[in-house]
Amino acid sequence: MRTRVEVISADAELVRAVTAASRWRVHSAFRHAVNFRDEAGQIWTMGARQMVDGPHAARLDLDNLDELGLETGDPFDVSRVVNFDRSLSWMPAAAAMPDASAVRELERAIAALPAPEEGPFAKAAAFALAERRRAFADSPPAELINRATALVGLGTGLTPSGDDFLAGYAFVCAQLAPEHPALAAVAAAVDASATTDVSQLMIRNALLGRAAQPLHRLLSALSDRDGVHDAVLAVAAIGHHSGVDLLSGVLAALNGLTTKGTR
Amino acid sequence: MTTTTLIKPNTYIDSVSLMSISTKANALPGVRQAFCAMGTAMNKEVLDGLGLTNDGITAATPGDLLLVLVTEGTTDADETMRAMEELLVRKPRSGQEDQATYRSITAAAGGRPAANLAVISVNGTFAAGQAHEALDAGLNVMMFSDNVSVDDEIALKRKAHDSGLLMMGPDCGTAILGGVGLCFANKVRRGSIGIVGASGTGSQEMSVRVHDFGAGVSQLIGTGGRDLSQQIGGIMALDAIDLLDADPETRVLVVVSKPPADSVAETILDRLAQSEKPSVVCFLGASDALIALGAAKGVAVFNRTKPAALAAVVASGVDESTLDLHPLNWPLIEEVRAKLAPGQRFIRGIFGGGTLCDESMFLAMEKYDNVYSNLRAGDFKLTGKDVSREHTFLDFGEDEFTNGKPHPMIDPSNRIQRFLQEAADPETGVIVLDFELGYASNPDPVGVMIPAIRQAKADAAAAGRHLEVLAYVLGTEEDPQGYDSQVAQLADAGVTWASSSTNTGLLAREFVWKGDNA
Repeated sequence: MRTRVEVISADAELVRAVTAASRWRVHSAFRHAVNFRDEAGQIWTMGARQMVDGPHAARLDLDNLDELGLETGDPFDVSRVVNFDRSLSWMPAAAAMPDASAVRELERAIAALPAPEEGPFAKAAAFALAERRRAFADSPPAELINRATALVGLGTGLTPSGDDFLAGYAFVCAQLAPEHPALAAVAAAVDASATTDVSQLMIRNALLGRAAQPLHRLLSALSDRDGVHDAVLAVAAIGHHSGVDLLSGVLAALNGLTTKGTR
Repeated sequence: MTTTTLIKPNTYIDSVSLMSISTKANALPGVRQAFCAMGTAMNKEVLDGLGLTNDGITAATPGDLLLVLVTEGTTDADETMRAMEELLVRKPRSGQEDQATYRSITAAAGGRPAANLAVISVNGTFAAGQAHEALDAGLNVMMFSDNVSVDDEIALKRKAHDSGLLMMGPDCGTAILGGVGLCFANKVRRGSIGIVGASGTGSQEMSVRVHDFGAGVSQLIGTGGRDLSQQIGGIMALDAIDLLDADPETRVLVVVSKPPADSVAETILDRLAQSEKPSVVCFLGASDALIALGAAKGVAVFNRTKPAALAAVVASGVDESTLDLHPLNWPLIEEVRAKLAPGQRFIRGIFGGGTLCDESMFLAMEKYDNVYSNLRAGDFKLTGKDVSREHTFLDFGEDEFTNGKPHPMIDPSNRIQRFLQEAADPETGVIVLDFELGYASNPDPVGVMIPAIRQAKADAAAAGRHLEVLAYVLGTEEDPQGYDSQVAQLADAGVTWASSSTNTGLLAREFVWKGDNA
């Protein structure tokens, strides 16, 4: 009998979902990660060993998920293929508010990142993105929903840049300022305007203060003032430009939260 | 000008692939602009703003992939769209008629009785089991996988030895068998020099230098980096020497390795001394005692790759006087020394190839006492997280850097941050970079680094400093990336390039030499 693939670590919610119903279907398959949809329509991700922990995700003890030979639409009986017995449970730590000088350090670290290579579509969307990000960050509360809506789904990738920005922003607010009006606005915007399934999942998790582990690590690095540079690099390494877009959202939110008297 | 659109329902492409597809599509003949994005409302709005929308795009959902092509009037737009669509298809591994997919190595061996070699590149946890299966099926094995235990390695190598088979690896990155390059191999001329390599980039360097000096390689047999350790005892290296000794096409025997265990080094030298064929050994960083031991046994032992390759080439019958030996360019060294400020004293080596890093580091250690590296132990050990100290050599192929990232020979981008960090340090005299060409390496390793090099040079100039970047491209003009075009990119960005791994180390240490005032 074929040996089951060991799970290194997994979001406790994913383990609960598998226990309830383990017959999934492949939503989209990549070399280092495969997204699945369960019977209730919920999306879950299984990544290779080197991928990061995060909400709705599990890391398998494999270099490469090609070995599983999965294609979109394939049925996947989770409990027959993977073994959670020795899996670690991923639980991100809660963060504390960093001070303004830490945010300046973050700003410098982000500014030092090399700009990701951009195709013509990304360039075409870049101007709109920059404008709309600024508009959202500077928005009066009444305008927040419209300005968030203008960002949902904007840009390239499986998680478009506008979504990554909103996820970074919402994640910081959910962690550090749960009453922030931007949270309700982003929630309403993502409900009202469609984006990719994977992106929706990312934003909905961010609204609950849950994100890929490097973002949690970044918040603790900022409040501890230790390892900020490395933490920024780890976030920037997510996706092609998702990481950089997430960082722009994190920075915009922290700037708003740590600059007194502007709101 | 023609605009063509194609909507692929429920098609998900990750953003890294999307970027690559977009870049390739824009390079297709006759393409003015190619767009590739998910069909979200906001993306449709951007396309509308560019005047590129139509009913199909308007109706697309966020789960659909939009392909939009703007082509020149004379271009066959449909044909070009088909070419763009082709880019989306993940290349099937069994796309040709003479290829087939089998569920196990035993099944493959049964279905392909003429096959005699299995390349194993699976997770280390499963690799030993697969290799046993292959050996039991009578196949030679090249194991690219690492993270295999020493006990497993010994068991596999003993089994292969008893069965008269090769067990190359674990962690064997390079081999050229019967003219076929496997994994990280370069395209080199066939000839009469047989190489046994216990180090990946060391073997590549040896084969490329042999090619450059006009000779060729009969076979390059990799052993895996641990083969010459005390525990393994050189089981595979000794078998490989036996094979090459008996091979009529091989007239010269070459062994290349990082420093081996003393007793194993002696065993290897004894075995080579028994052969009637001339033998050349390159043990990088070899002590004078080891070199003398080789001489006593009639085996030429070198501690650098280039002189070892030259000795092998000459032993194969090439007339040394006809060769360009690429002597050190002293006017260049003087020119660089003159550009560096007194405070720019240190070498910062940021390597993708472990043996290349070793060779430059050993050459620096011959001249300087303050050489730090993630490859060294004790007081001179640095980890990947440490900032550089004085002369620093980092091998980015080590696990601490590759954890969660592809090997830098496949994706050199993870060296970029470190490069920029070193470039900003006013004590940096020279930054040394290596780029490996060959079958499995990055398609444009130099190109990935060029924007960072240009930026760093501009930043240094703005700060009133000269930034010296020294690069080495390991490859031949026959490699798929093209040696000349890679070097041309370096020259265009103002990078000094070295002609060999040995010269790289020598140039770097001379550039920053401050004479007696150091």
